[in-house]
This record gives sequence, structure tokens and C-alpha cells, in this order.
Amino acid sequence: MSAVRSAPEVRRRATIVGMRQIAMVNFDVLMEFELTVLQDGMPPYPAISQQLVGPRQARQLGPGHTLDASVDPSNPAAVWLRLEDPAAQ
Amino acid sequence: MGRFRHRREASPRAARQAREMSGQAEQVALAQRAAALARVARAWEAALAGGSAQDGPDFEPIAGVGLAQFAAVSRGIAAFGHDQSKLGHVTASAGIPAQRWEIAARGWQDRIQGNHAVARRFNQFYREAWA
Repeated sequence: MSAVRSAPEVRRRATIVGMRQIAMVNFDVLMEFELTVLQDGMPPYPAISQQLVGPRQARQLGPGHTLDASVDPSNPAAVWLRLEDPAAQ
Repeated sequence: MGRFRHRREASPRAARQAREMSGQAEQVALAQRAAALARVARAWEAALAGGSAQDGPDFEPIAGVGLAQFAAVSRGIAAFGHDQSKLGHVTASAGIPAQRWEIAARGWQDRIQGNHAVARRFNQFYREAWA
């Protein structure tokens, strides 16, 4: 499912379980990430996120990486990896 | 005439009762679904324990809670819209005491972060519990 950012969002951690390239958009790569979203005090759940990443960033990411993520509280399946935040990785 | 007036007076109360009954029925249906998921997971775990599907120490049960059961309970919580107040109800339906669940949940989250094979298997179990 494609994640759409909307305010307010909640911060979570998400572990990349799998990833694949969907398409090239200009010089960026549209990636699909299979994630396990981790929530404090609550059980995790799986989610799929599609988002554009730079080619260099795409090479740095892989299964097993756990990153900061934003989640739409009204739709927990809408998850967005915070790739733009270097401290999140 | 008197009968009609009585019917008009009784109507709002009947509607409220109908709404309450509908809400209760929905809660019962969700609870039954959570309990059914937990039963499936327990049966699955028992089958796996008797077989050769062992994938190393990261897949061993934590506090008696295996990965399939953890995923099924996690799915049960999602059925309640990730409502934290329902956590105790779902774990109790699965026959897991709160103290054991806390240990298991913390442990499985650590393993999911530390071993993406565990995370992948968790996602599989979770989706199969949904099917």
C-alpha cells in the first residue's frame, strides 16, 4: 500500500523485512518496502510502503535495517520511512 | 388510539435497546474471532513442536509464547483497531497471563529488530492469521 503523509503523524520504528525496485522516476528509485512496524507497549504489525529514494540511499538500505517511521494514526497501514532524517537510521 | 400512543412512546427505547444489542453483538463477535485466532495459533505451534521446523534459537518460544501465537495475538489486537485497552482481553482469550505476555512481547520485539528472518516469519504468521 502506498503511504501518504498526513498530519498528525505518530513516530514508530520499522524493520525492513524485504524490498524491491518498482520503477525509476527521473534519477530516483521507487521502492516497495515490506516492513514490521514496532510500537511501544503494543504488538508489532506488518506493513507495505512505497516511496522514492535516491539511488545511493537505495544501495545503503536492506533487510534487517530498523529505521524511524511515521504512521498515520487513523490508518496504521499507512507507514512512511523517514529516510530524509539521517539520525533515524 | 391508546395502542398507537403506547407504540410511539416505546419506539425510542426500543431503538436504543437495539443499538446496545448490536454493539454488544459486535464486541462478542470480535472477541470470538480473537479467541479463534489464538486457538489456531496454539494448534499450529503444537504441530510445529512435533515436527522439524526449527530455525535456530531466535525462533524458540519466549515465556511459553511461540512466534505463531505472538503473531496471532498481535493480529487479534489489530482487529480492535490497535486499541491498547483490549490487549489484556485478547491475551487472556489466548490463555496467556499478563506477566508472561509482557516478557514474550518484549523478547519477540527484540528478536524482530535483531533478526530480519524472525521479522519475515512474524509477517507471514500474521497474514496467515488474517486469512
